[in-house]
Amino acid sequence: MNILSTLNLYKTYGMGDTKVEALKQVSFSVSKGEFVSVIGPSGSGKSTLLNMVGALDQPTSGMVMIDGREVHKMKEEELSVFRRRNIGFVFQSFNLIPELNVEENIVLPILLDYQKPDQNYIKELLGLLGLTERKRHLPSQLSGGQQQRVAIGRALATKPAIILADEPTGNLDSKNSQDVMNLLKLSVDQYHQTVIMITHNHSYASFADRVFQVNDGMVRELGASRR
Amino acid sequence: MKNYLDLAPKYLSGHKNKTRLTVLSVIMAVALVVGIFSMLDALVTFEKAQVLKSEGNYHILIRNPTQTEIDTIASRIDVENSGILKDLGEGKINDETCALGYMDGNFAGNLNIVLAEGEAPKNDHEIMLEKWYLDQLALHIGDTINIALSNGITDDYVISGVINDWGATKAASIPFEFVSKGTSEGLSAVTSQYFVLLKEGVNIQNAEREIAAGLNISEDRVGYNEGLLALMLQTKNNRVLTFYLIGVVLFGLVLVTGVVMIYNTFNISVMDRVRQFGLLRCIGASKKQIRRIVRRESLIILLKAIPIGVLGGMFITFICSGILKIYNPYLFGDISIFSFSGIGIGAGVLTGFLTVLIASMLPAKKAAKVSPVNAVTGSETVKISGRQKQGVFTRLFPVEIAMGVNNAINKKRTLILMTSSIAISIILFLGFSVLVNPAFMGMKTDEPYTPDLTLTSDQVMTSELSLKLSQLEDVKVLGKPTEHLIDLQLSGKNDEQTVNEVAAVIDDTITLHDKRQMNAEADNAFMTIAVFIYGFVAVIALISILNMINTMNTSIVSRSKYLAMLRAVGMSDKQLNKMVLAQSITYSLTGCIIGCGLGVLLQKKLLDFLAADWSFPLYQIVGITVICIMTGTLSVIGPLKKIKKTVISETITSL
Ligand SMILES: Nc1ncnc2c1ncn2[C@@H]1O[C@H](COP(=O)(O)OP(=O)(O)OP(=O)(O)O)[C@@H](O)[C@H]1O
Ligand SMILES: [Mg+2]
Repeated sequence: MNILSTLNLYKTYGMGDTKVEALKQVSFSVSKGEFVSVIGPSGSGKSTLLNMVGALDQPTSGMVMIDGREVHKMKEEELSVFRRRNIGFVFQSFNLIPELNVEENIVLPILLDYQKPDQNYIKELLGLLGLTERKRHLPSQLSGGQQQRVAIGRALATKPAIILADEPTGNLDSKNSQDVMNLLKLSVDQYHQTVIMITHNHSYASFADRVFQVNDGMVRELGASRR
Repeated sequence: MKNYLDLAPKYLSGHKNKTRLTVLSVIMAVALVVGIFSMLDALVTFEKAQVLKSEGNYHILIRNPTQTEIDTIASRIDVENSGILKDLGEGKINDETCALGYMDGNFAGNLNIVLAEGEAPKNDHEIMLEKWYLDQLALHIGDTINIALSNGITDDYVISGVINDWGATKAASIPFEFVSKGTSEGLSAVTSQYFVLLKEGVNIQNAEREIAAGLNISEDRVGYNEGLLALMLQTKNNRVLTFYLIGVVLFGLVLVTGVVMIYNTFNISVMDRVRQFGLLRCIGASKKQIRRIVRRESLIILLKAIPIGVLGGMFITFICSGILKIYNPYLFGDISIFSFSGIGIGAGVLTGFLTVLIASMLPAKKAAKVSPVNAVTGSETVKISGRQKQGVFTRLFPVEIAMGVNNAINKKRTLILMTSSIAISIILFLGFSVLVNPAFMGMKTDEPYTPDLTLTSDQVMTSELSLKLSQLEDVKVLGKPTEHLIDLQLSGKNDEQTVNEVAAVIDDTITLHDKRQMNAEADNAFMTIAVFIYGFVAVIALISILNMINTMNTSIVSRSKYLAMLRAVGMSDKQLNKMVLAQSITYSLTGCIIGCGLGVLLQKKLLDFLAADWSFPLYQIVGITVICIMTGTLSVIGPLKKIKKTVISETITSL
């Protein structure tokens, strides 16, 4: 079952001289429970792709379907609700609300959805993330790796259909990067999550079920090992 | 945390410095409004009491009314109380002149004719007189007194009651004797006045028109208690209306200032957080939720700021009243120092709430508009445009100054906010200073023709006398002396001696009126009001300066990361100082120029409106410019110190 598919996606920035075709004719689909990694040189359009898929930005043309719904057709309010329930984001940096502690950061998407956090699930998540001891700490009191784990926890909090991660290991050393990768992998295995992750590190790319290569705005799937 | 809205208090307590600045700014705006409106309220209340004391509690009066007129008016439904005061001409007691009159008992209190002892005359041979006169004659209630009435009949009268001294008569040394209704009807009245107090809420002008039209009373027979009507905003007097209009404009400006002050602080605070809002949107916050978070923040700030602002405003009122009372006990001795003005507090709270509602609505909208992409692309603030201008400034100034000026100019929104903050304060200042002008207070006392002494006589004063007077040292005869009146002005140092010399020249058919005391009091009154309005203006100026420092502070604090980064890449402290200073001076000068321009325009308009002369307020402008530059400099010192104290890495990693 396709959880995500794009059809003829185009994104053009600017006009005239400064016109940049960041995405061209992008069509692919991803099934539920797949771990997809996206690689490509700097400026090739990886982040742009993720922004389109996460409905953070409007494509110039084309279509994105998540869980059978065309995201860019939704109205603003509807989209917010859809996003908070179905998409989890993890960024390279500036991931957390600095005023909230670890636990609060993790439950925030649930609160935004006017739900009551399931304490058992949160406890389980904290355990999984190795942050049980740290749940009352503020982001500024955590290491970069720990902060990134909190961000993954937050992305998992609402059990979204899909997790989008833009260079989640970009700021981390190899040990912490490994932890983060393991967590993402775990979320796919344990919670049947779908993950799309941008990375520059080819060895992490091989963690994935599928690898997409972006070049000059064009997306091509590498003949990666299929599970 | 139970609710996403708890983010608001958490954000506020996480940014103590910034929150404090915002709260302070709201406090100042509320205090300004509460203070000025309370003071106005206190002054109106005080003036009303004064008018009721000096003029009496009535609205209109009809001169020489007929009985039909009296009966018709008295039976009107909108009339609260009415009564007639008759002047029954002069009488004589032991050959000394006294004034005879009659006053309806039910209205006597309204005209401050208050029975001190005994009772009002009821029977034909009863009389009521003033306390000072009774004391002077060493008489008591029940004693008889021989009076020659205006019809020539002399008779004995029993003193039935005593009234409290009635102001004017004591000064003129002519006692007022009130007779009974019966006696008054036997005498012919010189004049009579029928006083009417209308019920509360009645439109006085309409009622007056109705009465005059219904009874065919000519306009010159109708009089008004002008002072009271003016204070009740029911006057027809154009001068007073003009004055009120100007008041409305100025107080409107105070409100606008409050609104702008609060709006700006909120706006600055929201604009800094584009990235955070972007992140929130990424994790699923809807626009509405973002708006709610921002609004919740405003509410918390309000609840903190309003009580303190109200107290601050009351404190301002307290100080102002205190100054008035101490500075001029003669005029303002009776003003209450502790006044609790519902209007003032209401105005302050309302401004606070409305402003914060408006002020947070727009930034909240702006915040909600933040695209979630901002969280990813990492732009910390709203887009920076206009980079191309950098070239010009870099060629003109050293790089750090060019950067400062550019920072100020390129951030259009911050520029608008800062500039408008400063400009509106200046406009307010220039507008209010119009009021400090004796011409509009009706007390031009320093006119060259104000006499210090006036000589009057029933008999003819010869021109030799005025010649003799003018030859005295330090004495000037003013205008053209008539046979019955000569005005003199004193110019020397030793006035007392000169007065004695004048007294020596005249004989006892001539009365010497010493007007110096009265003039001094009028001068004093003008001075007091001038001091008071300058006090107002000073309060406004002070609050404006604080607000400017505060806004500058907010803007620098919010850019501490950027500044830390510049230090990290090698900007020296000196360069940093220059850059920040250049930026803040750019703001204050732009605000100064706009403010002075518009302020001068307003001043000119207001003065045109009052048909008064206007001249370019050069000193004011120079003063304002100096203060602006000083404030711009002052406001960067604190935050710069703080920025230099913090370790660079700390600021940057807190990203
Ligand atoms: N807001 C924008 N306006 C104009 N051009 C943009 C904008 N965002 C991205 N681009 C351009 O689109 C292209 C793709 O950018 P994108 O951020 O997707 O690259 P990327 O593959 O994520 O690179 P990196 O690995 O360095 O993060 C780039 O050439 C970039 O300059
Ligand atoms: Mg990228």
